[in-house]
Amino acid sequence: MQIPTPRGFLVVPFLLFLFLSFYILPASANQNGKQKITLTGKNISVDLVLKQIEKQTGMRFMYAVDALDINQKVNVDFHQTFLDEVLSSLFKDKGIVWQYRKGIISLKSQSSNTIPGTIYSPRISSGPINGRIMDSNGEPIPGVTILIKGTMQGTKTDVEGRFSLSNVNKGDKLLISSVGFEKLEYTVSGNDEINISMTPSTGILDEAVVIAYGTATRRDMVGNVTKITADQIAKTPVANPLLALQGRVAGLFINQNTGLAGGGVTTLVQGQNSLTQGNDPFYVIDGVPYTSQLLPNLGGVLGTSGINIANPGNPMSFINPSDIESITVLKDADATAIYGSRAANGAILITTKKGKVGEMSVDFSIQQGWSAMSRRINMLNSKQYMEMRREAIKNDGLDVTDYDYDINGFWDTTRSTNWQKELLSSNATYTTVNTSISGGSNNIQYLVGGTYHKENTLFSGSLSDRKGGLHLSLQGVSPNQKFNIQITTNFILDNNQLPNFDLTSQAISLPPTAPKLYNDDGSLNWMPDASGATTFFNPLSYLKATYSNKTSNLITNLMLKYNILNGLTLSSSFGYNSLQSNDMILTPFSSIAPDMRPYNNRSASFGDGKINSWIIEPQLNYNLKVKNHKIDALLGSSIQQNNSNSRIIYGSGYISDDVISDILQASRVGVIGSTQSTYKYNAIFGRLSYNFSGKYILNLTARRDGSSRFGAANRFHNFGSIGAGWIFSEENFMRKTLPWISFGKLRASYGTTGNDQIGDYSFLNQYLPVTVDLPYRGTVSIAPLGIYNPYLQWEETKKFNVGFDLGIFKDRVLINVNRNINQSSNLLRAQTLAWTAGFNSVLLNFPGTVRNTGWEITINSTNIKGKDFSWSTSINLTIPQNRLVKYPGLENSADASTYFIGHSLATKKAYHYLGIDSTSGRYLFADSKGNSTIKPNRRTDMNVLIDLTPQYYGGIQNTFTYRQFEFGFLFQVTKRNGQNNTSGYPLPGIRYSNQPIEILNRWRKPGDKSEYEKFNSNGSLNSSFNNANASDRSFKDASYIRLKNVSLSWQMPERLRSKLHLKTTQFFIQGQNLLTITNYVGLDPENPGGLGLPPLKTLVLGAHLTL
Amino acid sequence: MNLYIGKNYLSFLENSIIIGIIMIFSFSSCTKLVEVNGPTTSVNKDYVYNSDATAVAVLNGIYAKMSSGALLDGPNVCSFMPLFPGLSADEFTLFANTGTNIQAFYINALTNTTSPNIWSNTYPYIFTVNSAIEGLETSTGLTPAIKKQLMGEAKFLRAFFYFYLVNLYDNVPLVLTTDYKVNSLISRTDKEDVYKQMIIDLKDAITLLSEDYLDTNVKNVTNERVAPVKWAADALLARVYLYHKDYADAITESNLVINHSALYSLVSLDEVFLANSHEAIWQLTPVNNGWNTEDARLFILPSSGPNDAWPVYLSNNILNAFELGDMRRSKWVDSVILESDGITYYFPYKYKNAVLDNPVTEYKMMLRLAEQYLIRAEAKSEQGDLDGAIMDLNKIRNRAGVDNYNGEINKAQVASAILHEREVELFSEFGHRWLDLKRTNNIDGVMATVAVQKGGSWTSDFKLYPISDYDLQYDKNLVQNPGY
Repeated sequence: MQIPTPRGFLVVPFLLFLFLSFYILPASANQNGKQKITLTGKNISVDLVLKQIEKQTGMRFMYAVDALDINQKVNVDFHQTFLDEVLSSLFKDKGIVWQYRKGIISLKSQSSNTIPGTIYSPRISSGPINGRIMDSNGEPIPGVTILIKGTMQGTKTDVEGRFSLSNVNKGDKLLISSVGFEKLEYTVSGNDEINISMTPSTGILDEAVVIAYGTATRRDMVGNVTKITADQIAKTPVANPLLALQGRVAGLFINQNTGLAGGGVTTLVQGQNSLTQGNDPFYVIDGVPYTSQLLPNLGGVLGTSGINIANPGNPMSFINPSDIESITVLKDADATAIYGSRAANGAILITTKKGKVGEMSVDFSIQQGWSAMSRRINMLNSKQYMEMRREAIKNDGLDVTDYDYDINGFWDTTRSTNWQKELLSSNATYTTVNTSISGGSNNIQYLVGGTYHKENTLFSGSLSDRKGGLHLSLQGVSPNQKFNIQITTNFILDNNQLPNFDLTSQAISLPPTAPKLYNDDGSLNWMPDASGATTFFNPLSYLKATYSNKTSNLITNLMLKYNILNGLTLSSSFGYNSLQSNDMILTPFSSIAPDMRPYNNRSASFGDGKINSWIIEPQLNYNLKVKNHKIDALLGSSIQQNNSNSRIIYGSGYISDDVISDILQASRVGVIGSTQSTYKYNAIFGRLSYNFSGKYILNLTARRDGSSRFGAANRFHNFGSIGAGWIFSEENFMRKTLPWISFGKLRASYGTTGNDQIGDYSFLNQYLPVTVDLPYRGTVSIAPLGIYNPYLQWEETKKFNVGFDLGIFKDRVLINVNRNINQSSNLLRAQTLAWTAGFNSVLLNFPGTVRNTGWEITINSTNIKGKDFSWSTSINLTIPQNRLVKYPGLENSADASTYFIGHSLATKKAYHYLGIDSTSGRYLFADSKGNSTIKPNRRTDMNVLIDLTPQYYGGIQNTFTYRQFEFGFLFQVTKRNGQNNTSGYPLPGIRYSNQPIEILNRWRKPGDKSEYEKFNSNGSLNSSFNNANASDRSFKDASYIRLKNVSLSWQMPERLRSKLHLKTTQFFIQGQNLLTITNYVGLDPENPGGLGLPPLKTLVLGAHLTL
Repeated sequence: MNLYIGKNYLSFLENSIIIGIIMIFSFSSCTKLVEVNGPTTSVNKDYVYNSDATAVAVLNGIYAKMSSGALLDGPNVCSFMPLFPGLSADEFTLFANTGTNIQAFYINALTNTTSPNIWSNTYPYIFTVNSAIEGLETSTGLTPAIKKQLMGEAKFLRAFFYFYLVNLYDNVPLVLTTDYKVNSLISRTDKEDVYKQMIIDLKDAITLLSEDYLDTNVKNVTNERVAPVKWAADALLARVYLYHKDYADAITESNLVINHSALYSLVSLDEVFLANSHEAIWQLTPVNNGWNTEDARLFILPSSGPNDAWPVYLSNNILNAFELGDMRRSKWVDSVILESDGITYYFPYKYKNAVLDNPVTEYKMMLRLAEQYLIRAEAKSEQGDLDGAIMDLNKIRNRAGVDNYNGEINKAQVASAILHEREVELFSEFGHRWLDLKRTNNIDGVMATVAVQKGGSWTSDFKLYPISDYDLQYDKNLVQNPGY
């Protein structure tokens, strides 16, 4: 099966190019007015006549758009006629005069007062001035108003951004303005052609927003898109740019799964669509698709990124936040359908910084700070711990044994160590240095930037994550302004060193009576008993077993663009990404208890992963603006290939700890993992946008995708969307009746997107090697990989979005409301199977439906805007709802107790907890009949459903500026349920395991009313304890409000700055996660139920200088 | 149409680029662009059973996995059986109460969530065996002799796995295909039918398997006894017949093995568990770096005594079971005396090699000749041939340095003597003790006292293990064993 290729459509432009390529005219621009013209035609437009003249003379016409009616029809008949005569016959009776200058024929009206838009006042003429106005990307800006300051005289730029203005004196100031750009003042210094670059205005509605294959403004946009700027990212001291988005984007839920550098981050755009497959958004960095998951690696300590994900870490850790110019989050079908099969979970586009026209500017910033635990748990002290243990042993009718080292006196029971303080208090420093040089002329702009980042772990001063980055951007345009080239390169080197074990859980659970960490001679204390058996597994030994990861990430993109005709642009982007990582786990003898060393080898694992991907995306763009009609059309194609290779090698039997990282010194080496996969991807896509009068907008997108992840029968699929917008504030009746509404838009979109996150080759029946250390019988072993399904298809998500944008009081308050209804069907699912099937799951599409709906509200408000003081607030709130709508045959399926129709996918089935039996001291649960029982039946008695998806989440940012000071803070809010407290701990009373202080409220004797079951030392209450953790007693509110970010900065007054020749001199303090307000019982409400290192709080001081 | 271009010249470079882009445009969107070859790290099923090497590799994969499992994890029949049923019975004492799942086996307090769960761990092996049988049946590209041998191994293994499932759980689903739609919702099969299938499979295996041990290529004869041969199928069939009370057939099958003295004979106690010992009918080679058998690795206690990593030692029940002068007590049992408190811990010492990086001298014993003598003895005794039974019994006793049987010569006493002999001969091997107590209906009597000694309590329901909650949840047609 083949995609119907767009060849038919392409024949015309293709021939056109062939034709143009050989049709190169000699330039002959001498002797102005004396060139010979041959031109005949009846009833042809002036426009065509002018174009023919341009073609034959090689000169170009320049005129104010309003000065000449180019659509007027004329009759011409010239044979080898001088240009002057031709022009004369065309224009003399229209009151238009002409002038030749540097290959340009500029036309202007003699009686200028009659022509609107080009106003002449009586001034002494001192010759015309020509120029061109472009945006920071070198794109021409049409319709820019240029006015000579202090006069009424001015003009507008044409579609190529060119203008010509007469009667300009040296020293005159030109006022240049355009919707969407900052106003400019330009002082005329000579008669040369001037080139001016305009920067987009801060008016939030007219900022350029990067969208799929292009840019748009919020004013004209139909889709649901949120943009985060470099400015906001710069205020956030984080190493992973995703974390800068936390609490700032409606519809985007980000969860930082660990406080370890480079750790997993879960990102969900508008909820979970897929039951068991990937729910990652589609990441695109400078036009290059970027992986949302790393390859299999050894970084288990880092945690995973997402639901149902196996590979640890997060690939966005290898993107430097300070290189980023903007991040746009695309949510609805209008914004994402053009990405087809990969955008069901939304898309996140990252655009890096580029050079701007202007003098060379040197930018330097440094941040130095510290990180610490954001929350700690109150644990039992020694006295309480001893009490708990003794009571537990007594409860079981047992005696303290020789093996109860924690309480029998073998350990010094007078010790009482707060292990969280002891193990998690290392001075974790945080340093970032960024520097960049940028600048450029109108033809070439450049930016070169470098970054250094270092953060230590909380566990040890000697282990740290260090990153170095390089960022390059170069943009050029040919002298004729037709040909554009743009190259962007981002490179980062990361060396992350961590212990291969998160010490947090150790720090929490170690008994307070545990012995000192070091012997007097400085060696680790293992507290051996008389037989030499270790009685204390020293937690510092975990620091000797290290995990290190060296990753390099190169993302580079080349964009070539050629402006074929007015409005018609052919371009192609060539992207390449190489993500390579080498990681290593070392297990030296120093990390192993001495008495266990004879039974263990020194060992080391080495991982080596490479993802290389390239993409080519040719595109044809066409813009047309005729009167009130504006059309943007895009046709493109995408060819992509990903090659993934990874290998994990295991070495053991080293003779010394010192040589352990050298695989050559291992006495035994084996390969324990290997991935080699190719993913090919091909698509054609198109978009058509129509804007009438700046009031009515219609958007159509379509994509046909082919992906190698699916079997031959299901390789291709079509996606598309339709979107419409109505800017009602542009209607006259609105302007009259509600003038305080400065902007109002209603918009809606509907379309389809897909999800192909099933991994490569899932449709094949594969046999993989059995990984054992030594080959059985010296030969290879293989085994089936799983139950395979050759008929896999895409998951399809239909997205419907209605939006309402309102700007009031001259856009001082902007309100943005989105209502989305996304419905995912043909769900890909690893259906859980009983083991009798041979494997516990099979991947298949099934006719279930998941619906994600949500309200997204964003308010940006400038509350006070004074000369010295201003205050602005931005609020975002998301009220999501996730529902399993349809699941045929759920009742009889394997998923009957995992998923529930009409409930969220993250619904937990739990026992109903009834309290503690005051006579026996055991937990009581309700059985299916409502009677209380101490031994509930898992199959029949789990009847409480608890929804773990957030009920709402959002953020409130307030920013105050007073003169040179700026102060801002962001509160992040999440309302949800989660597993509180006890789940991460073992049974209260068991040996060697400390407990949180709440546990003291336990049952002791008949008649007691308590919160916790009686203590138990021999594990006989294990199942009771597990049942309590699986009951609604444990799943409670885990909502929190977090002071996510605080920033205070001071900019040196300009007077001082100019003395020091500095453009920017800013000093700042920034804080992250400084405060958490919650009723949650446990370590971290962001990761309820866990005892891993929570997101750290960080405070940094810094300076930012620009030369 | 008038085509227009201003004073814009196109350089050769620009032309080339534009044409290049157009070409890409035109050639994109082809099926070929999204076609990939299979991954180089796997073999597609279409090829697996059409080449000798890959087909051999599938069965090799089963042996390799079985050999790699650590006893405490019990991830397969081979690693589960020596430890966990022994804990459930009276063979082992568990060191300290650790509150772990192991303890649940020890105090006979299993629940439907206790792991390791041999049910869930064995059906995946059966899936591989079934896919091998299906693949081999339709295969055309294999050398006929290899195909025959592999088919024999697969059928042998299927019976081997079902033997343990049916004896631990009673009626179990009989899965004979790879169709997940059927298998994931299958209900229990009457154990009679499971036995019938085992007998069919083993009879097939007997006709298919080679009489000689073959090397890796399944071509040349070797002395490595690490893949099943015809005699292994006979030996297992003898055991199946015994359990199924087909005594005459059990005698026939065990005769075949015992009489094949060219390959098998009883060897001295020190040599029984050595690699390729003459007593071995089927063994597995070690595959874990630096180690001999996993059994030795767990059972042989360090000088500091038992702890969480070596949590089991021999119970007094088994220690007291040895008769005076039984050399198995000295040769197959060893001990450590703790310096701290002078307590002595005894442990199984059948496998003796548990030092890291020692050369491999011992293989994991899967089937051995001594059991065949005991099978034949029991079958003869059941058939009323008490003299014959005692003769076989004495073979085993004499090898251990114990005098001939001198008890009463009646059926009950001889049967009891055989059961006792099995206890001391086969202790810590494949859960024989647990299975013997069950099938001889002695379990309730023995466990009523032992369970209490171990800190638990006993009801007759506990002789069957529970099916895991997981399987019950996902296969609605499964019914839990009584008492759980």
